[in-house]
Amino acid sequence: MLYLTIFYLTVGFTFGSLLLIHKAVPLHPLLWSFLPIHIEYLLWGWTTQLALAVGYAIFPRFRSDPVRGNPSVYWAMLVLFNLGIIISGIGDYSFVNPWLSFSGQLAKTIGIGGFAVNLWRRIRPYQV
Amino acid sequence: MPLLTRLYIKCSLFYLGAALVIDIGRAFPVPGQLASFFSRLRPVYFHLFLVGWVTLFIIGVANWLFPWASREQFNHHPLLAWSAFGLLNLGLILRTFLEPTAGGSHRLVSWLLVLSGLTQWVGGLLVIFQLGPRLKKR
Repeated sequence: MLYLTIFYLTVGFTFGSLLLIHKAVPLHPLLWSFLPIHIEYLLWGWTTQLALAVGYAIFPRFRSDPVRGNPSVYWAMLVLFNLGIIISGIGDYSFVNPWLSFSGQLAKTIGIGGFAVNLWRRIRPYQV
Repeated sequence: MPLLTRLYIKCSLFYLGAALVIDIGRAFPVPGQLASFFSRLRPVYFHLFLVGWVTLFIIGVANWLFPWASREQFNHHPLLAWSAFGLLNLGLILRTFLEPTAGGSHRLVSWLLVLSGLTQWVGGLLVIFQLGPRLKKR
């Protein structure tokens, strides 16, 4: 997850920097089309995914295996979440079918929601 | 994990869910009343995400993991910590419901929005006052 967050941070910051430079020194009019990807990658791919990854790593573990909860569920949610971010990142372009964009949002919602629900069970006092 | 941290993190996950609902509502591809309703919620979406989800999650984890300088400092300001939690949440909930109607003729709504801004500001200051002294070596 942390590797993925670094990917989103790198791409998101690159587009952000290009947009800022473009405001001062116009580079290419098409650069503004990167804005939705910039927002989507930094809000969801970087910030949200980093917070969930930290929660997954440090929240109190269960006493028996699997100590962090079912890994298959986490993996499935992670794949859905990231597919959703990538699809909804390109979803604002006019050539993209709006239903594809919506399905990206749906995948993202299910992925993050499922991940969060699994984490929820670990928000508790330490077992002694 | 202390009770206050658990509440911060559970609230933050709740706000994350609310932000996701608005996000998916905005992407709904059928124009109509529903789409225009969600398009008006853009500021609410950003506040639920950045204040409700990101900020409350960070404060919750910081409240849990930041070192205590001494044993006396532990639980030194419980009222302060709980007030900060209450004020941040009160302010966010108020603005979530009132911000879409801002700019109308209702004076009460305007004053409640002012109140929500102030409660969030004071809540933020209390967090800084409470967590700041813990940024020391053990």
